[in-house]
Amino acid sequence: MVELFRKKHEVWLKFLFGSFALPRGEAAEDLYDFAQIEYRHLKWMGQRIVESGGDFDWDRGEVKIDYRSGEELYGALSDELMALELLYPPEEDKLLERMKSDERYMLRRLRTPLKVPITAFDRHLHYKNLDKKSLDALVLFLIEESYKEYELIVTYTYSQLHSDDASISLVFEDLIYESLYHLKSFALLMAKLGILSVPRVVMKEVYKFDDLKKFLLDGIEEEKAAKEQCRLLSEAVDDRELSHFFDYINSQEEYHIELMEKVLQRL
Amino acid sequence: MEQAVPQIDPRYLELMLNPTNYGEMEEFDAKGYGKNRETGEMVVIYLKIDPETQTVTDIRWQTNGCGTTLVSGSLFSQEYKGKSLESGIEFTNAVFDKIRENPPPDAACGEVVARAFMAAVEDYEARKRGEIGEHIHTVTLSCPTPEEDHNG
Repeated sequence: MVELFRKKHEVWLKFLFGSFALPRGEAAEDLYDFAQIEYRHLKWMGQRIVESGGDFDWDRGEVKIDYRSGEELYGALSDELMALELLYPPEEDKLLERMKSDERYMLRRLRTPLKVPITAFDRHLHYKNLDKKSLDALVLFLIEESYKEYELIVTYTYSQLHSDDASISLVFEDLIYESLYHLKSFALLMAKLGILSVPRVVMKEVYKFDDLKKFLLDGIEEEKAAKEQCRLLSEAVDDRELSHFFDYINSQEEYHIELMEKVLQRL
Repeated sequence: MEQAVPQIDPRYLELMLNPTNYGEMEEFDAKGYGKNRETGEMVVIYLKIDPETQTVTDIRWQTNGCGTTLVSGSLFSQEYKGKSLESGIEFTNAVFDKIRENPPPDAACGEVVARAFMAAVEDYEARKRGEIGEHIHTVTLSCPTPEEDHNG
């Protein structure tokens, strides 16, 4: 089950970042929905592993997705799904059947040819008419914060699946939704700049922590730092639309602090 | 109108997106942590060492840190690979001397990687004596928060 979990973690990221790489439209939406389904599979599997007294991790291999066309991407995703099917244990089981059924449907959908070019990885580094200073600030922010959002998703998911408190679990759920949205927003900007990339592996020391209180207090400080980064970026970029976007993200971070303080009060 | 391109060195951009020698090592001879207690930034370095020649035959590292740490970790890990432990220590000491000339954020991010290497060397020596434990070295230079950086 742990090996299957790791492979499905890679498949989740490949669908997710594949969806960000494609031009906006039906194909991108399909891949994003499939990625969300793969993420739910991971949660169900993780829950089962924990309930049976075991543990899972977020280890995985490097996920390369720098494809130049929709056809290449679809081909690679199909190969991943076929390789994944071989890892399923043979026993009859509702969860395993559900996951296999979902993936058979995904495989079928991927058979439709997708003849679109992909520019999300070509490092063209042009976005609107931003000047060099704005581009530098934006590129650095997106690289650092896209990793951070992925780190938060896996950390909150791990914490949620190890929490016995329903209220705390709900707060983690909200924070996961928020980070999924931020990751999507940042990754789509990265794709527009041609620097889309799957974030690096998160080290175990980050998400397997002993002290939830310390984790939350550190998390609040990180949210404050992220707010400040957003404020600085909003000032630095010479583009009104981007400035509004970073003010909006800044405001959302403020509520994350509120949510984490809510958990702190329950400890 | 001609499009502007960022001033970030394309080689550094590539290292931030795909850091070299990045990842966990399952069977290692030494493991060390560098930590920045102010920022929570952390680097772990794993070493595979040839016991005869005392040479670093393989290296892996991981971090929760920023772009500068990713560049430092990638470049330093390339430097350490193939070096004897003694040369690695000499290189690290030279880094500690040189690093102070850098702007504070870059200095602290470079230092956290170098501290992790020294902690790994310490771990290697401890393992040779049969002692197993976590080896953590903390950074001495300050990494300003964005607010301090902005105001300062």
